[in-house]
Amino acid sequence: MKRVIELTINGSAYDVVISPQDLLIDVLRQKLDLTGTKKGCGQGDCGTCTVLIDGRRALACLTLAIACEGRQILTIEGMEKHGVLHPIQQAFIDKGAIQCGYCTPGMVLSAKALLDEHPAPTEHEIKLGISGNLCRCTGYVKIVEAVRDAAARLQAAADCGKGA
Amino acid sequence: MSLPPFEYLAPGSTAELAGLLAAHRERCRILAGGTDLVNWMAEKIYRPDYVIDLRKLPLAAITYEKGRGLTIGAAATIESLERSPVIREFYYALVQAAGQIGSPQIRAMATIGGNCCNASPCADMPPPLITLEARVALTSARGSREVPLEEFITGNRQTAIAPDEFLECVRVPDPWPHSACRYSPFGLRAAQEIDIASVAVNVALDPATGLFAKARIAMGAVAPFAMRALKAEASLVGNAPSGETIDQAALVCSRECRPIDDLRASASYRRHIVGVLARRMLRDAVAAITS
Amino acid sequence: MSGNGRQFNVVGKSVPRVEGADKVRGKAVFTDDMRLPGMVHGKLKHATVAHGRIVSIDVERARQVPGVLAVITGEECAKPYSVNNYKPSEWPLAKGKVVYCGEAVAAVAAMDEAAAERAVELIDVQYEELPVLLDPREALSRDDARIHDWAEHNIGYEGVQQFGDVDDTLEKSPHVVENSFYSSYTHCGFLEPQSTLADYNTGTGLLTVYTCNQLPHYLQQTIARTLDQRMEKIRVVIPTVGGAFGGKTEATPSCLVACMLSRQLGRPVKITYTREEVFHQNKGRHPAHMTMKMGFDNEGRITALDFDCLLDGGGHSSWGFVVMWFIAALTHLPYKLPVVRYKGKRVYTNKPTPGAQRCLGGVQVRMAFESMLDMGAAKVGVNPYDIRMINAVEAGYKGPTVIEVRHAEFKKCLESVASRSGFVEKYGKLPYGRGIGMAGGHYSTGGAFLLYPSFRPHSTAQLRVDTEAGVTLYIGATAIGQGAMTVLCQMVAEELGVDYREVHLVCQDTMLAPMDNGTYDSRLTYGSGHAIKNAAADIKAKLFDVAAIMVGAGKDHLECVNGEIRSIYEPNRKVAFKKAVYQYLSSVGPLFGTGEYTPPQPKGDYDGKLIGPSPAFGFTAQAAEVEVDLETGQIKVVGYWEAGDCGKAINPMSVEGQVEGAISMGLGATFFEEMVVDANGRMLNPNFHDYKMPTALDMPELQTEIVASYDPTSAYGNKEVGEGPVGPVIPAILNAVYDAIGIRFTEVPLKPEKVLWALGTIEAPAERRLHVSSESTYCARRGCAPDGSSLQEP
Repeated sequence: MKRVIELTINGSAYDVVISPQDLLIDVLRQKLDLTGTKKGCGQGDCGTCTVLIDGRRALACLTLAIACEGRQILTIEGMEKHGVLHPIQQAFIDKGAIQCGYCTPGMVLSAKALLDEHPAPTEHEIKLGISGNLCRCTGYVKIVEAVRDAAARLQAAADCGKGA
Repeated sequence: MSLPPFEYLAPGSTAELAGLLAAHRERCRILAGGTDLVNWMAEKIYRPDYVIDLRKLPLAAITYEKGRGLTIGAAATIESLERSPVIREFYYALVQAAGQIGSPQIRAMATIGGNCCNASPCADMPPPLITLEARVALTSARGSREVPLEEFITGNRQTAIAPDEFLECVRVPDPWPHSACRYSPFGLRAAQEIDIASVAVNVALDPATGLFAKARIAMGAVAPFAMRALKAEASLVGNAPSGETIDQAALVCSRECRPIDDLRASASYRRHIVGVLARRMLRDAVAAITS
Repeated sequence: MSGNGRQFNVVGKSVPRVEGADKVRGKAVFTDDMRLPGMVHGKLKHATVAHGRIVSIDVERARQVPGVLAVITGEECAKPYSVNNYKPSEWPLAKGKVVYCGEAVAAVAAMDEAAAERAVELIDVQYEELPVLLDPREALSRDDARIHDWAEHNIGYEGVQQFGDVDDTLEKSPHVVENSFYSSYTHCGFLEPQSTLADYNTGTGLLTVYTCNQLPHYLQQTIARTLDQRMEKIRVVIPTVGGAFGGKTEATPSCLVACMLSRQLGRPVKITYTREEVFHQNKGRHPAHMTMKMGFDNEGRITALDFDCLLDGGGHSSWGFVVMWFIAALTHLPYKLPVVRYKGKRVYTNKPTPGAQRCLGGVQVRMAFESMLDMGAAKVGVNPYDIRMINAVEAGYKGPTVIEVRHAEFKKCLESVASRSGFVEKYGKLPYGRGIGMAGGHYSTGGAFLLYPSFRPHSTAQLRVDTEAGVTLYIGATAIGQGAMTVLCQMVAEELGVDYREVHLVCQDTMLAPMDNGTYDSRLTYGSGHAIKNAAADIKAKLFDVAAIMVGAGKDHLECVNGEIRSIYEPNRKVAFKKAVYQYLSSVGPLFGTGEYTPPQPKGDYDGKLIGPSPAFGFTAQAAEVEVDLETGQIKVVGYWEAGDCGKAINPMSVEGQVEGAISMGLGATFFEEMVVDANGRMLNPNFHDYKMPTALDMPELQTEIVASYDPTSAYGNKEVGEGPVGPVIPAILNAVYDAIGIRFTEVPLKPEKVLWALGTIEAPAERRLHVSSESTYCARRGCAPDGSSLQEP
């Protein structure tokens, strides 16, 4: 039976008419036009649909939209603030971590979850942190570099904030 | 793929949950992390009329009290197990198992209750839990009962849970004195793997004699469910933790398991790997106790 | 000629991608992200048997599902299709019979996806099952069970190429080695499932097709031919493509069906594949059963090669013809091969159809060839590095075929990986269980002949310069993630002295951009580069007439740099580029330039000569160091080195990304990737949990290097880079494993259980025929038993 639920996505509340069986990925993409979240496999294997729910990584293709009421959802569209890219996003561009771009949104969100928890990750921690996101284009080398670079940028910004 | 239609229920108390289960029985499925259930509904393996979500229930706690052991709420995520300091200190094999499940995303979503109740032959949590003598608390409107996990899982995706019951928590007794537990899965890739085989061991040494006092070994992905290596366990107890004893026990493990040939590996390879893993894990565990 | 060649301002810089910001913000629009007013959803029904005659299709119950608008079957399909329209066998929806499990047999259009899925479930198809042929060796012997009536012995294509007297040369060669190899059944593994949004306008008769495809102009032809729709009434638009790797070079049945449904309903229809459908659509790499016999002289020079190659073609024709001959062509480089006989066959089987996958043909050839080189080196008694250097081609090489190497720095690549990896010091000297291996490779930079025969230019560029849009490039190129957009903008910027980010690019649209041969065979950057350079020259020839007067210098003395047109002798004599453009538009009129490029057309006459010649070849050399866990059979890559000759790297950061990605694809094929079908032809792993591609944790540290190189035949010195580096990965690992444990594996994926089977640790199942061979030379060198037992750890 269809019903109206309120979803909080990227800090904004949306009233959405859904059926209980609707998956978060389809609601994001089809009802809210938040198409940055990708559907690479629909089975939880590729990580292209990764979003953060209450700060934790989640696969939107295995998540019921109805179960997200009252929770904070962050999608790729919520990473930039006032048109300024998040340092992780900028690092992905600058370090050549983007090729076809299909894994990129999920990869960026996995990187965010990683850096929120480990601001200065080791190489292994970076690889572990993105191990749920397949990339067929890059061989991951430049993605790992970008995450390392993003960590340094975020650290520098934090230090700068302390100084001021 | 779209999911088949169902009604979604999110009870606010365990009493309410028990009531819903009593009312809907086989017509409902419990949703925790959803990493298995959603896939199975998409594949139309399940077409429940009701999906009952545990998310509003206080079932995610992990507590440890000396003398009473460890209690893991059914909805505790695999990630929370992996990060729990008490589990890392006292039940290291569980951290090893939790850290190997799926991907960071899956670990953040999937729960211990789901991993036990879905009873996949290659599930990572049951082998170490079984070696740690874990019991599951099953609750219904009729009351509560506790069942050893080993008896709870009865087959490939089959358990002893009644249609009106839910798994409330997993209880693990205090670690044995002078013991250590270890777990190792084995797959092709370093992440996102479905195990070819896995072995968990939990052994205690007699501090006076230095001999194996107690031993439990469980093997995953080599039988319809995580199985004990009873003969191998028996071969350890009372013997010195020498390379020879361990090698012998490992050999017995590889004989005891009942693997099949499939896409992921041949039965003979699985058998061999079980032996290698058992030897490595027993050595690691003994080293951990004696160091 | 080598070295750095021409001096550049923008070309050669690792600038970030022009589309990077869109992609990282989630704003890049892929086909499935699109929605049009009135759009409905299509869904395909798939065959549940691998070979069967369609007895009946009952669609009545499907039609009655609320929301269903149309149901169609193969009866509505006019014509079959294939690449090059050579032996067309594939229908948008199977007609009469199905030849692989998962083939589309019917389709539904409905108001929403759920209704379409329900309706598809209700379509009832009855089959008369036919013998299922899964192995090409068996299929060859089953003329009684033809997969296609017209294919005798199930042979799609066969051919022989012979240069010199192979039998005689081999007989006279002091050293001859022989072995058989099997390359595996892999998928391209792009993350974006194929999607098509077809929009037929009933008023104008125009069919607009949004789809993720590498060859929009070729797709337009396929649609025209297969659906009887006039070319001028088809517009193919390619949104952002989420990876392709060759697998998106063909029309998918879903694309053609979406067009049919849209034409029938007069409204937009979208069909997006599930991951399972992507696997069934396949069009990945052709598995090959190969036998090679190779002769050497006493110095290690290759004297002759006898090569038999049997390709498993799956159910349909696809790129089979091209793959069969490309394999022949790719044997002729990067080593001098004077005498050779190639016998190729491509045979139909009841499996999802292989097509084109990155390094098409090269992966198969390199796997066998580079293993043979190591075997030959051992027999002759030279180091694997030396045997490669002895045989390596150099600029100016012309073998027995029409293939000509106009530029090569292959030896530099070999020298680089050998010295960086410490190959000579390590080879044969690492402890048992650890080994190092090497392999070389190359790839063409676009074929000399067109995919679809015609006499028009292969590449065309149009430049428009004005004060409204600035600089706009119209080009038929298609970006698939490789970074084409950025390097094309860099080239325009280089010529006209503008910022590369200011160049507008109009591409991936058959209505707006001029015809291009498409994104395949690593042809894009080279061909487009020439076309852009020529178009810019056209612009400059016109603009400099006006600018010369403004600057006060001869028009032949002008150049465009940093937004200015200036005298090359007196840089202070200058005028702003925009000012000169304004002046031109006001005094002369519109400013357009065009440029084109067609590769040299080699002459020669033998079967298959159209496939293989190229204006330029990229080269690569790779070395791998591995450690074998003798207990589990797991192989760990502990070191990986690559050196590549891609000519001038237009964007070194992009080049590195291409090479790293290519190596990861090669490593996946080496260790994990394989599509598996059961005895009935049903694929057992059409998903990413059992079709295992490498994760970040599976990648060793890759040490790549771009060697100094400049191809003077190229507009910017550049050559191929994106495909060749896939080829050497498998043999570099196989050679390293041989060095480690003395077992020559001749099949992949190299799963750990196979290692233990070969070591004799466990017994292989009876039905598994493992491709390995043991060579006495290893044991002699190592001073150990064939299983290495005397040197094993206790």
